[in-house]
Amino acid sequence: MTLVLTAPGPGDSETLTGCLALRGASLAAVLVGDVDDQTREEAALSVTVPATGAMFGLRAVRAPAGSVDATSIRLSDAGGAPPELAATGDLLRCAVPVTCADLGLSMPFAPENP
Amino acid sequence: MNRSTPLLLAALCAVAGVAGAQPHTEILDSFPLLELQPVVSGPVDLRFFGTYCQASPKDFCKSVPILPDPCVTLRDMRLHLDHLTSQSGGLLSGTGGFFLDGKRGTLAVAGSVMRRGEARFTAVAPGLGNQTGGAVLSGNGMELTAAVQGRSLTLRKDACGNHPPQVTLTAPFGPSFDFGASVMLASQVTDEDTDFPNERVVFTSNRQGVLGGYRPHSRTLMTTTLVPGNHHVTVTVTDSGGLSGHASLDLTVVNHPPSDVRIYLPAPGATLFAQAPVLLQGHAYDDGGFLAGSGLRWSAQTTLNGPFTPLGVGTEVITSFPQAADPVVLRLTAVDPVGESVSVEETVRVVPSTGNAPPVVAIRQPDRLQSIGPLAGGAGSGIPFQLLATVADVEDAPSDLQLEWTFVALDGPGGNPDPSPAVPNPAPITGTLAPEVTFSVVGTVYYRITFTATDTGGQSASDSVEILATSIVIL
Repeated sequence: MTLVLTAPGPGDSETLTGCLALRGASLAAVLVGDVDDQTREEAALSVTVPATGAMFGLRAVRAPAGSVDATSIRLSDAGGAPPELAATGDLLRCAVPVTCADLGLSMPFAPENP
Repeated sequence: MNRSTPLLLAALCAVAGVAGAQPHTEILDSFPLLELQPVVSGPVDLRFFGTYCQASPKDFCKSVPILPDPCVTLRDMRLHLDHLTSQSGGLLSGTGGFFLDGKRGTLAVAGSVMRRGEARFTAVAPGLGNQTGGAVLSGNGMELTAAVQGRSLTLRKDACGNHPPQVTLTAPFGPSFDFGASVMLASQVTDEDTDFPNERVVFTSNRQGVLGGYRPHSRTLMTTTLVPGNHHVTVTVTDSGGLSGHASLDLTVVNHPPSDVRIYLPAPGATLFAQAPVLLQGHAYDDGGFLAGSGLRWSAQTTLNGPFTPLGVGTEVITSFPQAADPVVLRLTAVDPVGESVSVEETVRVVPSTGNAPPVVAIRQPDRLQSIGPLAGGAGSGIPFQLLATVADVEDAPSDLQLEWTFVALDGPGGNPDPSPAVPNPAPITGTLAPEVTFSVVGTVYYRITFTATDTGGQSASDSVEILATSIVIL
């Protein structure tokens, strides 16, 4: 599994956007996140899967606690997560930057009425 | 990354550790397959792209009128949406901002396309929590109406102060192009944006749809994919706000039929023997190169006004005629990739088998198959000139064959032997398939080089090429 989290931009320190994908693209999804403004250590992620519009929740806790740069994230089911995501587990930071496009989520454009 | 807020993770990516998960590198290795135009099974709607803005403030009121201030005012909502295409369908991702009763807020949106023009989404706005709702896009993609908990809000692309790109399109070397030649399409864009990724500068033809090719930069396309005919070509440029501009032009792609269609072997008027192998050799030139394979089709007519029987395809075909016939018309039909064809014919005769087939010969160097025009090559005066031939015989081994090369000056290209050449013709060379010959000429002289092989039964076969020998040094 690969998870990409992106901070929206200047002036917004509490929301996250991003995407995730499982091996073989059995699941690719986009997500939004809401950072806990008290702890600053965890976030609630709302994940949207394609086609059906189904959504589920994940809880993400960064580690090590109190650090500036997280080296891992622990994910757990916050409601409705599919079985392959339901188990709690640690995700390590990737060695190289990865984008949603790298995960197969492309941004094509085709004019409707050229 | 904002290092003062530990959980704010800019482009954080994490892998492994989850049961069944794979190392990151393996995951990435699996994704190049997706670049091969993956099949998208779910709904997509690429119009869900751009920046949508609130045109005017809107009050949202609670349904309890006795409250002192039951309404809040939302204004200046601005939302940028990206459409991400996955194998399972279209996904939406966006961020934005707004003012609620004068306080600035931010939001992030994730959603999926349910069908054309419709999406479901979750929006996160700090302090306001998560909201789930639906969104509907207008037919022209300009207006987005979001509905959450029975309340709706309409945002428009043209309410953001953005303007559509102003676009011009030129075909610098047009408007007529040879089929197969590179067609350059250059667009010029004037817009608030200065950076346009390739996917937002789309070139289309009314005959072929979206055009592919080499992009030296996003605004220029070099393509060789245009089919012959008239094309109305359009470039559509979409800015980061999702507004599009167009420009079009007409161009024509012209196909040229095959040219320089030649039968080299057998020679016109040749006498062939029934049941003996015959080498057919020929070539044809088409836009950009020589035709090969099924672009060269051989056939023969063995009865007067009878049908042409296919003999094979390609630059060289070995065939045989089962019985005598006279005349026999050999036809080489050159067919280009568009299907346009040109045929040449020659007449030979096939005599009854004698029980001893003549040799099959061909001069390979100079290589006339790679030359356009009647000349197979050129030789410099005083410089050794390499020759090469191949020979085969049904009954005899190559070493049993008599081989001879002769060289005759001509009175012009394709002409007759010069009865009084300025310098004597080079002496014949025997016993080798790969001799060297040196021409000593002043000025330019056309030569016919003939290779003859004779088997032990006295049957012989020849092949000839013409070259130009010159003392003129071309720098």
